[in-house]
Amino acid sequence: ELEWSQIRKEKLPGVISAELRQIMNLQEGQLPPWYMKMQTNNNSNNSGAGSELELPPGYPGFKIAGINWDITNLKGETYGKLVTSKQKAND
Amino acid sequence: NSQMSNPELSVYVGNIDPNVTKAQLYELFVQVSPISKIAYPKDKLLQTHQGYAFIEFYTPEDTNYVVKVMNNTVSLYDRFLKVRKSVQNLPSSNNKT
Repeated sequence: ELEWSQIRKEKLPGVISAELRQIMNLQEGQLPPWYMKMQTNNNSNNSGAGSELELPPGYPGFKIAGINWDITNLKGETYGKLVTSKQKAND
Repeated sequence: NSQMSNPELSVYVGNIDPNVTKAQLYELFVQVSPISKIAYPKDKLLQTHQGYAFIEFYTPEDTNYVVKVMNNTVSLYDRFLKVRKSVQNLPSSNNKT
């Protein structure tokens, strides 16, 4: 098992390893199941859809492929990307 | 090391298959929130995991969000993880169960 400090450095939001995908039964190129629960009812905005996504409060600027990031980024082990304030949202 | 420094910011994760590693729990929950620490107790004699963990986050918003999006959402080895706040009630509420 990896050292804790190494885990913290290597495991990042937006990428799920093949190892974890296997035990959670998530194919590569699939969105993880919790994105369905990010929906929140809110009619006050201009989306008109009646619900919108509540993205992780701990990750301002988090991008999820097919939602607020180009769907073509959904490939392999990657489904999302943490965009820091220094980077552009659409690299 | 297995003590949570702030139970108010912690969640209890239950129904964990004993084959799940601490690294896998970290990788899973870091998807939805930055993680402060994880306590994943092992039986001292058998060296097997006990089926539950406590994960601590940095803010109440993070903690509430994790419960909202992760309870009964992910199955590992076909067992759905149960996620709830470690501190269910304020001490003053004095609920009986």
